[in-house]
This record gives sequence, structure tokens and C-alpha cells, in this order.
Amino acid sequence: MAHSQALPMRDDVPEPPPLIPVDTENDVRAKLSASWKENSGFYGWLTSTNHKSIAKRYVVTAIIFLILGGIEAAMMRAQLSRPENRFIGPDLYNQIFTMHGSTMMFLFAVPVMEAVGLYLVPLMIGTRNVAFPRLNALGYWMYLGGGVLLYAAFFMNTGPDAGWFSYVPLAGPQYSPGKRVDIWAQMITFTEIAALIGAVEIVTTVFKLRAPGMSLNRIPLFVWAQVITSFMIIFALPAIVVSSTMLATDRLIDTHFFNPAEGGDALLWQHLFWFFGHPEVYIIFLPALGMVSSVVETFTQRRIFGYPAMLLSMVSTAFLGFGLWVHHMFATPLPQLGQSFFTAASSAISIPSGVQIFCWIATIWSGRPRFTTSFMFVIGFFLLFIIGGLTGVMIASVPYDLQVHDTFFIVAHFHYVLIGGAVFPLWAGFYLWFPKLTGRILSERLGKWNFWLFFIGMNVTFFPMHVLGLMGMPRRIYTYPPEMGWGSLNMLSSIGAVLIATSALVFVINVLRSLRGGSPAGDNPWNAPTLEWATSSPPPGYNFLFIPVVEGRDPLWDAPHDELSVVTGLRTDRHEGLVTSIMDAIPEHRYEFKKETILPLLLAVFGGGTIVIAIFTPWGVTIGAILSFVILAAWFWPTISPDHDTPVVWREP
Amino acid sequence: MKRRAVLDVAILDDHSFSYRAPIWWGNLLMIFIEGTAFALMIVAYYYIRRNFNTWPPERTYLPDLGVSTANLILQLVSVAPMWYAAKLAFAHEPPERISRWLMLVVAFGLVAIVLRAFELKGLHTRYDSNAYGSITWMLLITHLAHLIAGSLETFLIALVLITGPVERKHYTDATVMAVYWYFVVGSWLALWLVVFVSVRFI
Amino acid sequence: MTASRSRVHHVTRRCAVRLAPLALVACTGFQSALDPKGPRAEAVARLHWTLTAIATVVYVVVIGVLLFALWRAHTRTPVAEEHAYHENPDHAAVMKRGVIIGAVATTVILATFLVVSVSTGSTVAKVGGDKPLRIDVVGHQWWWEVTYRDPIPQNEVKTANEIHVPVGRAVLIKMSSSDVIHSFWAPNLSGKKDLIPGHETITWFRADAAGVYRGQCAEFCGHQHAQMAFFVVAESRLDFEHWLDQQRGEAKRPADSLQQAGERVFLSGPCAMCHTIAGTGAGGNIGPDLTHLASRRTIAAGTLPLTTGNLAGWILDPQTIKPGVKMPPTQIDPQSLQALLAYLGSLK
Repeated sequence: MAHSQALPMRDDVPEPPPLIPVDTENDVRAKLSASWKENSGFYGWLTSTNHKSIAKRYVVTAIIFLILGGIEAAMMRAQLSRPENRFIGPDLYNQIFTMHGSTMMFLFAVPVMEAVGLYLVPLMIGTRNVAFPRLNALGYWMYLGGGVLLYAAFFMNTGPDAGWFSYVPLAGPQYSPGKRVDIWAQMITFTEIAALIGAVEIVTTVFKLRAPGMSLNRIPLFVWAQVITSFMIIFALPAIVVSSTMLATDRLIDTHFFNPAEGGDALLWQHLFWFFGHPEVYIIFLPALGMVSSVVETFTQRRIFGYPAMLLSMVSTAFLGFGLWVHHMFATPLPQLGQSFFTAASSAISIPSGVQIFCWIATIWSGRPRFTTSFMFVIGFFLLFIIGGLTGVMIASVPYDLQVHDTFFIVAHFHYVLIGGAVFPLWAGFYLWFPKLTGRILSERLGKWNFWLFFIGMNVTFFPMHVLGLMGMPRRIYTYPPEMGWGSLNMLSSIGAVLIATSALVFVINVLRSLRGGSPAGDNPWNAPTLEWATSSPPPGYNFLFIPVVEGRDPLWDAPHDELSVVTGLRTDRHEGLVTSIMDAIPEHRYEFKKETILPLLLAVFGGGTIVIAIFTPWGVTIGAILSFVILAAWFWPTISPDHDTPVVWREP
Repeated sequence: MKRRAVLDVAILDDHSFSYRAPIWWGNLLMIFIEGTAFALMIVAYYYIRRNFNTWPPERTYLPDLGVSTANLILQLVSVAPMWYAAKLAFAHEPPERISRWLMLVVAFGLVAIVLRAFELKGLHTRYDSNAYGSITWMLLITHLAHLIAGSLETFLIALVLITGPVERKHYTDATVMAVYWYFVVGSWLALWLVVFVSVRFI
Repeated sequence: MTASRSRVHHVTRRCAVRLAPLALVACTGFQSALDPKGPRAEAVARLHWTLTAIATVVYVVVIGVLLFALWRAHTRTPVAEEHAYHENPDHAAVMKRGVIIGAVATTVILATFLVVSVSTGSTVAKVGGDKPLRIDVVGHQWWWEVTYRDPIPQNEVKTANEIHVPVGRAVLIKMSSSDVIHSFWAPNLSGKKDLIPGHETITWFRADAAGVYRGQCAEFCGHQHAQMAFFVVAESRLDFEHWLDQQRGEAKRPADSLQQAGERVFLSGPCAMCHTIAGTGAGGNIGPDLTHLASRRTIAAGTLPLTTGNLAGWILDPQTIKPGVKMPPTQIDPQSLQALLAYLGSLK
């Protein structure tokens, strides 16, 4: 796979250092395996802090929630397939669409994108774990807690029913008595903690733990996408932290943030919610763009054209993403000049998206595409996402939006954006990285079925919704009279949902079959350029036998003679990694990753317990805070094993 | 794949300070998160203000300046021992010495926490009186949570530094703690300006 | 095939039956943004077709280029560069030019879009016509309270879920909500506007053709968001004045003993606690004003056409027809119901 002209300057190096002897490698492998071995069995599962185990369960959990959200979608489609259908009544329907939106946004889309990042980022940048492994485990447990809380409540007929956006006053104490909306608000608390933890992990890991030589301009685009997304999470999620806290206190201890009778304001909720909610879309979408880059690069065997343009586009998307929130509020009383500004910003965001699409097309134009399932999903991404993007520009127009806002046109638009723009790339990513995660390749034959059923089903389901919206069908209605003339298009849409469900089934079968008997992948089945392919599939606990040294943007394509330059000198008796400088990735110091422990789970249980009990009594917060502090003290308490061989304890000089 | 050893890192230290240390970045990102939350709450404060004819609302006294200003001065003074403790940590001075200064900061923190109770009283409104009461209480309570968390964490680090086992990376922890404390104090300066000063002019 | 035809037939038939009172209404398009009947909706419908045309062209061009790129790359004979992972330099120049052209074209199209959008925006914002008719609309879970203000208080008209307007005259609607957020939307006439508790919002429209246009709540407002419709009845100025005149003043007195009995049932039963009938003791304000109930086309915010049978069903068991609605079922003996229906039916 090597080629001669990759690194001409290598000719200047007179005497390359010797290859590491196989015996030494085996010795290091044995030592690393011993020190990175985690507890076994169920207890080991509870205590693991390895980014790969955590990310894998994150992905699996997210897909389970995707299936649950999909079942809810199917139930809605069944109810809407005919006018005046009596399959589901309003009470259950309102819960179901709230659950569908909340599940897809908070329990599937954001977590799954972060999860893929938490798995791949340390591998792509050549390190052994994320910067704060125990915090990472806490993030997963909090996420799981939020999901379990939401679904436990739903199965007890206490599912939230005020929409995933929980507009006040409908979601306030007066119009949503009972615990349904409290469940929603606390689920938000759980998942926002998880998302923020993931974001802090990814930024710190990428900033400080890159392999030597991986300067900023050599970071893979997927990793950049994850970093930019993480910054968006860091600045967007506080808005939902603040607003959901206000909602919870309005409901639980009679504050008046959203009560107009006491000077509160229903629009304050909308501003705060969408200041989070709109960037949320890009938080889902940007990692997907990173995946598209990886897939295009791999299956055209061409480096992505226009790396700086791609990077700048992503950064400007992130900035503009914070300037659009008002376009969700065009029907509220707002000054017209302000609205025009948001129209301009909302349409301007399609410029960076356009630039990226043009760069990918240029890459494909110059490359040699292989029509694998993964690549097909990326082509599907182009075909679908561009439709969503174009309708997105249309609804950025205030007068246009006032007609289609809160109708099925919007439902169609954002499903094209989110399924076309995020789920299709995610599936492209699954087919690309599944071999790395499992050591097995997914069946291409089933993969093609998976793709075509999904692609056709997606269009049959969602395209008619554009027309339905223009024909006056509002969102979130559980029934409609026959004379509206919406029946046949709704039936068509419901038939499409059956195709999507079939496609999901094909995917599950493909995964299960491949896990059992898929063809072995080897280290780098696709001849991909990035570092995750430089180790075995699946990677060992320590990721890399030796931390690689990076000499170009595509380390494996640039590596001469199938040789990898590596770092030696890290300790093998503890979890040690290498901290490098933020700009040029010059080694700075050695770094110890925390080992596995039960503490994150305990903290999640106590902290999560606090959040749940707070629904019923404010005293829960006090008790929970004290218990959580005890765990945190244990967490921060230094642990030095007796066999610690280097003296790190301070001594009198 | 064959490997060629091009770089030996055995001689490198096992910790570093400031922007070189991962924990410094983790802490900074936390500050971004919490700072954004404070900023949004301040925006909410002024947003709610538009729904009232007078500010504070009719039949509500102006919030007391005395105790909140005392608290501000106290917190600003606490920056000095924190800064000195960090300076000692940067120089790898004996942990006991650093610990002593950190304990002083904790003492300041505890007084600030007690003063917060009087500040809340001095707001002359309750969280359930009206939206003004809700947002001012929210700002003060959220900052109180930061004071408590900051004091407890400082206390934990101070405790580790005297009881050990002390690792060299604990020096980094002490300096990062200082950054967090500066943030806690700085955010109080902002909140004090909003809740106790600006209320007199808008 | 047969099944589908009989289905269509069935729908049409039901449509005809249910909408018999709405004689003017065509089966499709009476709640459609693309069948504009007023200047606001018309401007947006024009905007829709313009934007759709531009979007289609953009889509075809971009996807065309993508397919060309795929086809070209796929059919190219492998050359020596097989294992070089970078584009060769003369390709790079072409690619760079392509991307730049794409970006510039995007920007130009967006600038055009912005101009078209803002100019349409200012067109629809300006109230089209002097001396607009002023109507207040208050949103309730789940019905619309409509008030025609008048300088003389006795002349004020209150109705529900049905807005009569004269053709060709601008209508200015002042809106608020008594509970949660609703959104007022009659797509044939204009885009939507939210009704927000604590805020007063204003919208306007003008119907340029006579007809009955359906609208419904477009902001999720709880249980029965789906069945919170209203009708805009655009009629000639004369018909409108006639209607307004008829709506003014107190309810008709019961004309016979059955209706008198019905009035007694209404006033002594639970009905009067929530509903108003002007001129009687009934002054509840939780449900719609029923002073001129019998002149309306539908009941329960467009849920059912107003027929005696439907009204009976609604009074006896509203929770089956519209689950969650604030109206409780009424325990009533058949004679009293008969009388009540006769009375309500007389309230023209």
C-alpha cells in the first residue's frame, strides 16, 4: 500500500532508526495486556472505564432507543393512515409524539454521534483512552439513567405529553398537572449532563492527547467535526440547563419564570429553548459531515479536496448555528427587522454546507469510487440532504414560514435534514467502521437491501408530507376529518414507514449474522488512511502497542513501506499516555489515565437518584447532594498502589 | 505492520501546569459551560425586567447593598491566598504549606456561604413572589452552589495535600482549583453588578 | 383498484353528508396554502412557486454534477496514479474552480432569495385596505372566542369558532389566549400568528372571494389540539351586515312550551355554569357563548356539523366525540333532552 513519492524528505534522513524487534513487541504486548486488563464478568462491565467499551454500549443503547423511537413513529403513522382512525386516542398520541421527538433528539441522535466520537476519536488521534476515563463512564450511566427514567414513566402511563419542546404554559404547573412534564425535565437533566461530559472529554482528548506530529492541520476531518460539535454542545446546552431548571422550579416550588400573571414570560422559554434547540440540529449534523468525509475519502481512495475550506465551513456552520434560533419563532410577536436578520442568517448557513458538498463532489470526481454499501449511503445522503437543505432555505423566509410553520411541511423538511443529513451518514459510518468495532465485515448483499429499502421508504414516507403541509395539515394532530382530503397521502406515507421498518429489520439481521459469521476484517480492510486502522480489529484495550508518530494528514497512506513510526518509553505497568502540545502536538509530558472503578456508577446512582427524588420533594436535592459529595471525595482521593515503582510522592529536597 | 521507534519519551515529566495540562482544559471547559449558564440567566433577568413597570417591582424594596458588597469584598480578598497557594504549587513547594493557604480560602468560602443567607434575606422578595423574585433567587442560589462546590473541592485538595499520598499531579490540581475559584469570585462580581447595582439604574 | 375507488367514493359521500351545511365549500382546497383567496396567501403562494422552481433547478444541477462525477470517476481507465491518494495538480485547478463557482452561485442565489423573501414579507405585513374590520379572537382549550367590538356596548357581538367577514374588506384581528399558546391559521387567507398568554398579537387578512374557509390551531395546545378548527365565512357586504345584525342583541325568546321547557332545563342544569345565553340568566364564560348557537355551522370547534342529532350526542357524551374536552357528560332524561334541543335549535 505504500507508494514512493509520499515523503520525499525522508530521503534526507541518512539512517532510519532500526525496526522494533518482534521479541520486544511481544514483550510490550504482554505487559500492556496485563496492565490494561479490566475486571471480568458483570462487575467488570459495571466498572469499565475504557472508552471503547463505554462507547460501544453507548452506541448499542442509542440504537435500542432508535428502535423504540421508530416503533413510536410507526404507531403514529398507523393512527394517521386514515382519517378519523380510532387506533390511538389523543392522550396516548400526545405522549407518543412527545416520546418520539424526545427519544430521537436526546436519547438517540446526540448520544449516538458523541458515542461514535468517543469510540473513534482516541483511535484516530493515536492515544490510549479519553482524557478523563471515569468521567466518561459517568456520562454513559447518566445517559442510561435518563433513558430508563423516561421509558419507565412512559410504560406507567406517565410519559410526557407536552411535546419535545415543552412550550409553556402548556407544560407549566397549571396546564400539565401530574408528573409527566417533570419526568421530561429531569430526563433532560440526565442527558444534558451526559452530553456535556462527552463534549468535555472529546475537546480535552483532542487538544492534549494527539499522537506526536498530528499538528492541527493534520487532524482528520471527522475529529475536527467532533471537536467543533463539542464546542457547540458546551455553549448551547447551558440554555436548556437553565430553562429546564426554571421549568422544574416553576412546577415544583412555585417560581414564576413563565407565569405571565406574575411577570414571567412564555416567550422566555421559547428563546432559551431554541437557543439550545437550533444548535442541537447542527450538533447532530456536524459529526455526520465528519463521517461523510471519512467514507468519501476511504471509498474514493482520495484525500478530501479542500481541507481548509472544509474546516472553515464547519466552523462557520457552528457560529451561524447560534444565530438562527428565532426562525422557530416567526409566528410570535417579534420586530420585523429582527426577523429579516434571522432569515439572512438562516439562509447563509447553506453557503458552508454548499462548499462542503462541492468539495466532496470534487473529491469523488477525481477519485476512484467503490460502490460499497457505505458509499451508497453517502450518495443517499447527497440526494436526501440537499432536498432538506433547499426546503430549509425556503422556510427561512418569514412569509413562507408563516404558512408552513408547524405543518407537515416542516415535518418533511427536518426529516430530510436529520435522516438524510445525519442518519444516512451514520449508517455509512456503521458499514465503514463495523469491521473495526467487531473484526467482522457486514454483508454487502444485505447492506444493499438495507440501503434501497431505507432510501425508497424514506422518500415514500416523507416526500408526501411536503404536500400535506401545504394542503393545510398541521403537526401534532392525532386525527383529521375525511373531508380535508389528506387521507390518501397519509396512507402513502404510512406505507413508506413499513419500508423503513423492513430496512431496519434487514440491518439488525445483517449485524447479527455478521457478528456470528461475517468475513474477518483484518486491520485495514478498506485501505483507509486514518490511525484507527493502524491497530487490530477490534483494537486491544490499550489501542496501540506503541503510540504512533504522525508525519502527514493521511498517516497510513503516507507511511512508507508499510512501516509506522512510533513512540517508545511510556510505562507499561500503568495506564500511561502521552500529552502533546495543542498546536503542533509536540510531546510535553506523560499522563496517567485513571483505572476502572465502580465510583462513576455509584455517583450516577446517587446523583441520578437525587434528580428523580427531586420530582417528588425538594429535600431530595439536599440528601442527594451530600451522598454525591461523599462519592466525589472518594473519586478525587488519590490511590497509589503499593507496587508503584517510581516515587511520585513529594519529598523534602 | 512494522514499527520503527523514532521518539523516546521516557525522560518526560509526568505532570505539567496551565494550558499544558489536560485537567486545566477540562476545568476551563467547565467554566465555559457554567459561565454560559450565568450569562443566559443574566439575559433572562433583563428579559423579565421588560414585563414590569418599575424595577424592582412595586412594593418591593431595593435589594440591600451592604451585605452583598461585604461578600464581594470578602471574596475578592480570598483571591489573594488562592493566588499564593497556586504560586507555591507552581514552584513545587512543600504540600503542607500549600494546604495551609488553601484552608484559609476555605474559611473565606464558608463565611461567604453564611453571608449568602443574609443576602437572600436582603433581597426583600421571595422566589415565589413574582418573576423578579424567581430570577434573583435563581442567580444567588446558583452562585451559592458554586461557592459550596468550590469550597468543598478546595477543602478536599487541602486535605489530600496534608494527609497524602501526594502525587506530583496534585500540584496541578491545586493550580487548576485556583482558576476555578477565580471564576467563582469573578462571576459573583458580575452577579453583584446585575442584581444589586444595576437594579438601581434600570 | 375497486377497493380504492369505492374508498374514494365513500370519502366523497361522507364529505357531502357532513358538509351539507357548508354549501359553498369545495371538497379540497378549503384549508390549503396553495389555493389562495386573499392577498396575503396569494403573495405567499407566488413565493412558493418561485422558490420551488429555483430549488428544483438547483437540485437538478447539483445532483447532475454529482452523478457526472460518479460516472466519470467510475469509467476512467486506471492509470499509473492508481495508488496516489492525491489529485494530480492540473485536476486540482479544475476542482478549485468548480468549488469556487459553486460557492459564488450559492451566494448569488441566496442574495436573490433574500430580496424576494423580504419584499414578499413587507407586502404581506402591510394591511391591505383602509378602515379594516376589527375583530378580537381569544384562544381557549379548545375553541375560539370571537368578538366584534362596537362603540355601543349592546351592539357587541360574541360568537365562537366562526368568523364572518365581508368580501374585499381587510380584517384586523387582535388576538390573545386565555390559557396556553395557540396559533391562528386559515391558510387560504393568510399565514399563521400565535396567541400567547401575556402578549397581544395582531394579524390581518382579506378575503377576495366569497366562500367558507377552514382554519385550525397550528400550535400544539394539549389534548384536543387536533379538533380546534374554525371557519371564516366570507360573504357579500350585505349578507355580512345582515348576519351581524342578527347576531346582535339577546337570544330569541322561546316560542312554544317545548322550547320554554328547554330553556328551563338549560338554566337549571349544569349548562348555565359554563355557557352564556344573553338575555337569560346564563352567564358562564368557560365554554362558548350560545346566544346564537343555531346560526352556526358546526359545534365543538369544527368537530361536528351542527345537526340536532350531533348536538344531542355532544350534550350526552362529549368525551367520546372529543376526549379531554372541558365539557362533562350530561345526565339528562329523554324528555328534557328533547326540550333542550328544541330550545337550542331556536337560538338563531
